[in-house]
Amino acid sequence: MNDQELITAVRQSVRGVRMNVPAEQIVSRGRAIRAGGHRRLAAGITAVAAAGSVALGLGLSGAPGATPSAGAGPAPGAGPIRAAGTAPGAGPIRTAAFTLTRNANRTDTLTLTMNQMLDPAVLQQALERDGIPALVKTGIYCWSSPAAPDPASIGVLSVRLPVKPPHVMVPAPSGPAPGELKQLAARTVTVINPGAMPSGTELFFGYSSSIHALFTDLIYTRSHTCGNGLPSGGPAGS
Amino acid sequence: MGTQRPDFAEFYQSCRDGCLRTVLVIVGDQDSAQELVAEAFARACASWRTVSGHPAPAAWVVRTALNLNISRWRRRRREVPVPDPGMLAGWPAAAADAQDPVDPQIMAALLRLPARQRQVIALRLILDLDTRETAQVLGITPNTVMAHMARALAALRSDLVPELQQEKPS
Repeated sequence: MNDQELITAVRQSVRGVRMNVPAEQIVSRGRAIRAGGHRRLAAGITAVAAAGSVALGLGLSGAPGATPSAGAGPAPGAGPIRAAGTAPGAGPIRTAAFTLTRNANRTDTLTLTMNQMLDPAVLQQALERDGIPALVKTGIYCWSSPAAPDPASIGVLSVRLPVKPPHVMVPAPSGPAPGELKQLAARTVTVINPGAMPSGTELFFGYSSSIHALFTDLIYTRSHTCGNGLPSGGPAGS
Repeated sequence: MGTQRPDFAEFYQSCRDGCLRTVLVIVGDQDSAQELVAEAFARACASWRTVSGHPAPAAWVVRTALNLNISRWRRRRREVPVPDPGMLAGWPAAAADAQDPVDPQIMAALLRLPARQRQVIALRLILDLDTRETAQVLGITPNTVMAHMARALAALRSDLVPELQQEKPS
């Protein structure tokens, strides 16, 4: 079999596959997107992009060389070093898993490291000390229905990704390689602006120790649902 | 008088199958591919004034679909659609039983390729992009595209030829 025959065989192999979504349906969805109906979808994806970045930051916090588990607590030194009761702005909170810095413009910068798996209670405590209403959970995902505004689009969350990380456009289906994750993680910074949070909302951070991912979203404090899995028909359109 | 931009419906009609087949080869799952491509086309429709001016609107759609796949993958990592080797072993028989429009042997061989080689094969052979366009979509150099293409063809040949020869009547 020469190259041309092989190429023809590959092309023929999917020749029977047809897109069966009617054009009208696509156009209708396109109109909805244009009209702003995509806000939630985009919000989800932005949030996912943010979460994904955060997730990458935490992704290998227990690896390589460590075996994080749901019940594992923080290692010695994982707790915040800023003294309890310290006023916001008194200095950064540093743990082995993250650093939270209060900025002069009343935003907070959350920088994740890969030195230690995240302790949700420590992160929640740190955020609360800086006046950021938050719910941080492990293995549980919370969402509001109807959904709260997208935290990225209203300026609550802003994630600074590394400049042109390798393979960010089309990563392997199994995800970026560990080396790539490390590169991403080391330079991913999230800026939180609590002043932009609508009243009655709080930031949700859901940490999965099994897949080592942190998901973020905005939820209504008094109206949200939590479960073991991600909500079906979730923000990413999945 | 400048070149008239194609109408979106016309573009969708002419490119939808090619985009779907390309994304299918990359993600390995027909339902996911269809969902991703439909959403990518809807986004193209929403921004048609911009997308129609793109040098390769079909590449834009595929790239958008793949980006959506990344987002979804990040959200639902436990549901990575690409089968593991154990599943691949049973793919041909299962697919044949279901009268799949995909050639099960070749699809299984494609899915055994490293992801980057599969992406190159999909963009070059299914979407018919040239080396430079493929390099742009993947963010790699044209030389790397050619290297991946050569390795992928070699791998496919060694994977498929024994199987195809077995099928020939002796």
